[in-house]
Amino acid sequence: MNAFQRTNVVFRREFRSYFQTPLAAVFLVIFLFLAGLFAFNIGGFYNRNQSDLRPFFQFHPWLYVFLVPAVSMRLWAEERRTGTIELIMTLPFGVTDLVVGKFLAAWAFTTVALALTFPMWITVSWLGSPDHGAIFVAYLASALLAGAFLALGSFLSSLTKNQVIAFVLCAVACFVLLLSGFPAVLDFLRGWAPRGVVEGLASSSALTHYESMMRGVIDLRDALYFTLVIIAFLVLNVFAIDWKKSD
Amino acid sequence: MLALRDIRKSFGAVVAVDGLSFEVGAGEVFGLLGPNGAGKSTAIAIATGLLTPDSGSVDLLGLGSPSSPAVRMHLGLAPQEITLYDDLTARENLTFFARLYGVRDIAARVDELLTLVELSERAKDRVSTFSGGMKRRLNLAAALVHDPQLLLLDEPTAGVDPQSRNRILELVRGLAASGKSIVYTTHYMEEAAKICDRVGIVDRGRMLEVGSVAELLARHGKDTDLETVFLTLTGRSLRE
Repeated sequence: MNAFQRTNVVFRREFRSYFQTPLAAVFLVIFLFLAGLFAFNIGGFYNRNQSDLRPFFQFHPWLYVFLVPAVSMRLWAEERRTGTIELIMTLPFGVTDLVVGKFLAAWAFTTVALALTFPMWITVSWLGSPDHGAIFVAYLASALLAGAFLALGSFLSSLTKNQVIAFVLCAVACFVLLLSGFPAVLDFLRGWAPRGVVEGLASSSALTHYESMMRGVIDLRDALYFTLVIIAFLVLNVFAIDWKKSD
Repeated sequence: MLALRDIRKSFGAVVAVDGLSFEVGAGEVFGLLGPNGAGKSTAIAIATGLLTPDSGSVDLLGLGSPSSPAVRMHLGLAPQEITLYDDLTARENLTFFARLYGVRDIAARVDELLTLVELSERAKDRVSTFSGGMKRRLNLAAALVHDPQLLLLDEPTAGVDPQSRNRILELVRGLAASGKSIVYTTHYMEEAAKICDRVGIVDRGRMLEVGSVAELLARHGKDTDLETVFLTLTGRSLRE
């Protein structure tokens, strides 16, 4: 059995497990409800008189700050709590296939949630003539942002057997990752911090790269940023599990 | 089959295993007995490759250390905790692990194991609905799914009813009769006396005595039993 097949076995088991608990239904309902509420009530979807989905996508990072940790918190903390990690660690292969399989399942689940917002796209298409390419890129940006947060959450979940701790750690880490690119924070820093520090902080922020893509332009640097964040945290995830395997 | 030689392992200032050595032959049930904190679980973790010893060596089937994935293919572990997915059925649990091990003809193997542990009729039920004894039996089946040569059973009868315990003991003897080597840890002395070919009594990370139950009893006087020998060697003071 090769690595791809093992990853696929883990992916299928994990993806299915979301739908065997109330988690899937709760997550999907809350995500769809809040995404709609923010877009229509706070984002002023109708008042703007523009046929785009900017009011919809601009709130995704803040929604993900507490919804993505709800998905990622159980990835490894649950294995630690139940003790199944012990059996998993004696399987005759490395842990990388398991990390990737679990991450992909979580990512696929959040992508399903995102895909269920397609009525927004239909609505805006019916009301006007939006730039479909830009909307597609914004969806891609949202999926990449969710992936980056999930990779971070998966890593943090591997450090504890307590799902609540995993949730809080992930929510705070995602918040910090966003906040470092928040205009108010950057403006505050510009007053006294060296320019290089401010620019470095802005470029390391998920928000900066997300907003850049949300405008509908695929910049290689933005795509590369999310890809590298995902890979970096998955690598850390593998090391963390190996490091704490006997706990 | 399995050889631990002069194993030492410390966690900070705490010495968990201090020069522990033992060997387990083909078809042998080796009982690893000791009070809480004696170093049994650490020894098992080292034997499975979960922990790396500070010094000493582990050899499985002459292939080397179980830290190598290829060597781990030959060992099966039933840990002290139930390591099953509650949200899956008995069949799904075994199928999941069989797939990861790359077992051929998974359906037949899973059927065989469910029959072996007498859970065929509950194959489609979720593990969350199982009693402690049923979970223990399924846990044992999960350790056997890839037909390993060496089985490490860490207190496999903890918290089960006499019927399930009896079935598990019969299974262990049957597996040994088929040529499998088994390391068996337990706190129940009568269990060890019943099924182990040899036992090793461990305390404070050291092997205090090793031999067949008959040999141990002969060394400590004819009219004694294994529990008395155990208490004589490890002391009667309470452990944390």
